[in-house]
Amino acid sequence: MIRRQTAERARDVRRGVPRGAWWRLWQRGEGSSASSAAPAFALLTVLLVVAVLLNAGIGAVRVPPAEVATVLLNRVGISTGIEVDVLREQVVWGIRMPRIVLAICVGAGLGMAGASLQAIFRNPLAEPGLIGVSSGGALGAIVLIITGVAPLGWLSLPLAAFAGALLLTLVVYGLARSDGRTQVVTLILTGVAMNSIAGGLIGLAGFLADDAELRSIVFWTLGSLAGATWRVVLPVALMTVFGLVLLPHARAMNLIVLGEREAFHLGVSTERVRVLVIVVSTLVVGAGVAVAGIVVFVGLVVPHLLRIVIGPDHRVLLPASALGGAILLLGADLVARTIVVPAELPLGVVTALIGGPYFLFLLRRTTREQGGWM
Amino acid sequence: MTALLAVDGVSFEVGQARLLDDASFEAERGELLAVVGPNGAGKSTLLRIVAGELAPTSGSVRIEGRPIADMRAMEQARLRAVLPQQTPTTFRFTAREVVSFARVPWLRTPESGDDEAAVEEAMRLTGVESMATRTFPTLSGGEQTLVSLARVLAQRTPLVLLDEPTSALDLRHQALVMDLLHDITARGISVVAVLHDLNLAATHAARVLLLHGGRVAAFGPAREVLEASLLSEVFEHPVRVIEDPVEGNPLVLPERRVRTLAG
Amino acid sequence: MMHAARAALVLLAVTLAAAACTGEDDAAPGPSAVATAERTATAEPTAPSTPTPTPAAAATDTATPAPTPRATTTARSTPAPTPTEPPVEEAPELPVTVTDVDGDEIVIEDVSRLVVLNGTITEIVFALGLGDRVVGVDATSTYPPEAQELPEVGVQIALSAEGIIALQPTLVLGTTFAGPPEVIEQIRGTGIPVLILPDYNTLETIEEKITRIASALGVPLRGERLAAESLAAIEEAIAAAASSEAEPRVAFIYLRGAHTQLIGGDGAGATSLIEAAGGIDVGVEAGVQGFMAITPEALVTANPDVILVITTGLESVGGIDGLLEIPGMAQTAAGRHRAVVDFDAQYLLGYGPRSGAALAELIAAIHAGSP
Repeated sequence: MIRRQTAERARDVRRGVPRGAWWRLWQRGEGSSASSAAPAFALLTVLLVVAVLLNAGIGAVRVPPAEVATVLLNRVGISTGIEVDVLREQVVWGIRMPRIVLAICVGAGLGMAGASLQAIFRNPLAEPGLIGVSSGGALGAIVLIITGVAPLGWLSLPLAAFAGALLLTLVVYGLARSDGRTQVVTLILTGVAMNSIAGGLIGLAGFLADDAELRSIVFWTLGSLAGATWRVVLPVALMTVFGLVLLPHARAMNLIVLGEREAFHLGVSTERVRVLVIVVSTLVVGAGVAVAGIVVFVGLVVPHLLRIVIGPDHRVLLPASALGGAILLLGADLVARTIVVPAELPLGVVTALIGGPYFLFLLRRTTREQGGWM
Repeated sequence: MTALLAVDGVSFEVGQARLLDDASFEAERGELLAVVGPNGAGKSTLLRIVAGELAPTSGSVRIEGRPIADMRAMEQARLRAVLPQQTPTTFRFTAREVVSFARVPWLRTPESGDDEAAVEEAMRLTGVESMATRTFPTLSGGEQTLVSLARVLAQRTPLVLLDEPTSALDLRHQALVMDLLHDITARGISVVAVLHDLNLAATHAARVLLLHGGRVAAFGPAREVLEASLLSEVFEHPVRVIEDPVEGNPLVLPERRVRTLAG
Repeated sequence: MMHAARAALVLLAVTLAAAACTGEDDAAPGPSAVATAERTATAEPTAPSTPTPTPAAAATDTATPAPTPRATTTARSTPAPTPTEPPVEEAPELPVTVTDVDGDEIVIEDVSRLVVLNGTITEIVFALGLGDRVVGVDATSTYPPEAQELPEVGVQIALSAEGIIALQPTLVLGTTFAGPPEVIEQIRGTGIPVLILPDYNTLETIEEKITRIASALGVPLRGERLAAESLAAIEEAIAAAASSEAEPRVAFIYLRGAHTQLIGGDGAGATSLIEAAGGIDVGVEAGVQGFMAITPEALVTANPDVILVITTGLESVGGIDGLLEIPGMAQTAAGRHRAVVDFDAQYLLGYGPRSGAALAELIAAIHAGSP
C-alpha cells in the first residue's frame, strides 16, 4: 500500500502539463490540483502586495515610501518615529487606501463571480453583466438620478443601484425558470433580452434627462473608483467577504463544467448550485457596481486568463480569479489616476485598453498551441 | 435476498408521447444486463430514469431495496455510476482530473482514504494511464469514452449504468471494455448497459432486456431473448440467428433484402 | 445591444457636457470681447467707476446681495463714471468667512494658490487681478489664454482628488457641477477649503457671482468694481438693442457631428442672452426644457430667423454648408438667408465679465439682417 502511494507520487512528479510558458517554469510537481497551484498563488499574492504598495505609494501627491509605511504602520499601532504631515497622511489614508480596498473588493468580486457564472452556465461568454447585474444597477442608479429623489441621503444612489441589480437579475432568473429547472440557453437569451430592455430604458432616461443629470449618468456608466471613501467602501468590503461562500462550491462547479448530467451522477444538485451562484454573484457584483459604476471586462476576462495559466480546476480558479481581478483593477486604477495627472482617465477605458489586447494575444496563442480554449 | 436493482412498472410520458410503458426488470448482484432494441425503443430513457435524471410518470426504481425517489443526489451517487454517451466538456481538465472527479461523492466518508487507489486502479484497468496528463477535449472520441469509463469505475458503486459504451470504440477496445465489464461483475458489481450491437449483448450479457416501442418485448437469458422471429418483428427486418461455432452463444445476422428478393 | 445603447448615451452626454461647459478650441472672440477683456484685466489702477461700497458688506455672507439695478431692465440706471479714483484692496484681506451653496460656512485664510473648477470663475479670478495665484484649472477654463497654460485637473464632473491636492491649493473654487461629491469630500478631508457656488447662468446673476467670488478671495471692493463694469457693459449693449424694433426669432442649436442636433430651450443657457438681445428664443417658445432632439418639421414650424450655434459644434458638422444639410434647416428663414451665428462656448455661455461684449456681438449679429 505504501509502495503504491509512493509510486503514485512519482508518477505525479512526472506529469507536466504544458499550459503556459511561465507555468512550465514554475511546474515542479503536481500532486492534487490544489497543491500544484501553490506557485501560482504565491505569484498572485506577491503581485497583489506589489500592486497595493504601488497604489499606496504612487500618485499625484509625492509621498516618500517611508512616510507611506509610517501612515500604514501607525494605523496598526506601530510607531516608526517618522513625522508625516496631515495632508500626506490624509492622502495616503483618506484617499489612496479606501480606493485600494475598493479596487480589491470590486476586482475580487467581479473575478470570482465571473468564474462561477462561467462554470454554472458552462459558457465562456458568461459574465456578471449577462444576467443583468450591470444594466440593472445602471438602471437603478439612473432612475434615481432622473427622479432626483434621495430619501436616504448619500446612501440612496448605491442602494438604488444595488436594488436595480438584484431586481433585474431576479426577473431574468424568474423568467428563465420553468418546472423548477433553468435551461442555460433560455437563461442566457432571457438575459440578453432583459439587457436590451434595460438598455432601452437607460436610453429613454438619457433622452428625458436634463444636462446636469446626463453628466451624472455618464460619470456613473463609465465606471470609476474616484468615489472611494471609507464609509462607502466598508459595505462593499463586507459584501465581498460574504462572496467567499462560493469557494466551498468549487468542486461542484468542476462537475457542472464537466457536464450537467455528469454533475448529477456525481451527486451535485446543479439547480441549487446555480441559484446560489446567481444570488451571491448579484450581491457581490451589485455592491461593487453601486459604488464604482459599471466596470466592464474584468468579470469576463480574468477567469479566462487564469484558466489558461492554471487550468480549469475551480478550487484553484475561484480564489485565483479573486486575486487576479483585484490585481487587474489595482493596476488599471494606478494607470487611470497617474497617466494624465492631475486629471484621471475613466477606469473602464484603461481596463479595456490594457486587458483587451493582452487577452487577444493569449487567446490566439492558446488556440494555436493547444487547439482548444478553456 | 432482494435484487440490487428493481425497476417496477415504470412509465414515462412527455406530452402525448408515451416513451416507456410499464417496464419492469431486475438486475442481480454481479450481473451484466444488456438493454437492446431498435432506435426510439426507449433504451436511453429507461437508463436515465434508473439514473435518477428523469422522474417516471408512474412506477418505481429501487436500488438495494430503497426507492431512488426518496434519495438525495449524493446518496444515489454512492450507489450507482453512469457513463453517458458522451461527455460534452470543453474545459481543459486533464484526463486524470476527470477520473478523480469520481471520488467527489465519497468526500468526508471513510472511503475517501481510497481515493488515490481507486483512481489509479480505474485508469490502469481501462488502459488510460498514458493519457493522464492530456486534456480531455484533445482526446479522440474513443479515448474520451475510456477515460469516462475509468471515471465510472473509480466511483466504486455497486451499480454501473452504461449508455452505449462501445459505440465509439474500435474492435480491440470493444473487446477490452467488454472483458473489463466481465471482470467487474466478477467482483459483485452489477452492470446495466445499453448496447446497440446485438452480438456484443449475445456474447457478454447474462441476461438481455429487449425493448420495443417503450414496452418490454422480452427479458431473460440471451439465448432465449435473441430469437430470430422476435428480433425480425421488433427490428422490422428479417434476421437469422446462428450459433457461434467456438463459444456456442447466438449470433444475430441481418438478412440482405436484395438476395431475399432475388431468391 | 446594451453596449450600443450605453455607448450612444455616453456619446450624447459627453457631447452635451462639452457643449454646455467646455470650449477647448477657442474661437477668436469678436473685437468688442477683446476690448472688454483687456479693459477688465488691466482694471486695477484705471477702472472707471463704482458706487462707493459699504465696507461692512465685505467679509459677510454674500448669499443675499444688496439690491442692484437689474441688468436686463432698461438702461435707466447706467452708472456714470465718477472722476474720483475709488479705493480698492492692495491685496486680499483675509481671513474671510463665506457661505457655500449648501449653506455651510467656510473660512478662507489663504488665497495664494487657487485651483478653479469652472471656466467663468477662472475668468473672474483673472479679472480680479488674482490670476497669478491660480495653480490649476479645469477643462472649461479657456480664457484668458494664460489659463490654458496652467495644469488641467480634468473635466469638472470627473475630478481626481489627489490630482487637485497635489497642486497644493489653499482654496478650491467650483460650481455645483464639480464632482463626484466624494472627491469634494476627500479634498475637504485634507483640510483644504473648497467653495462650491451655484451654477449661475443668466445675465441677472452675474453680479452676485462676481461679488461672491471676490468676497471669498478677500477683495470685495475689486469685486464691486468688476461687477459694476460688467453690468455697465451689458446695459450698454442692451441700450443698443433697444433701438431696433425687430424681434428676430433665434434658435440655439447644439451640434456635435452629423447625428447629434439638439435645440436648446429653458435652462439650456442661451435664453437670457437671446432675450436681452431683443430676440425670441424659439426653443423656449416651443416649451423645450434643456436640450431636445430636433425633428425637421418642428424646426420648420419654429421657423427661426437666426441659428445660434457654438463654434466647435458648427465645425463638427462641416460649417454652415453642413448645417444647412440637416433636414428642415434649409427650409427655415435662417437657412434661406444663411443667418448662422457662431460663438465660443465659454464666451457666449460663461455669464461673466465678458458677457457684455458677447451680448453686444450677439445683438449685432442677430439684428444684422433686420431693419
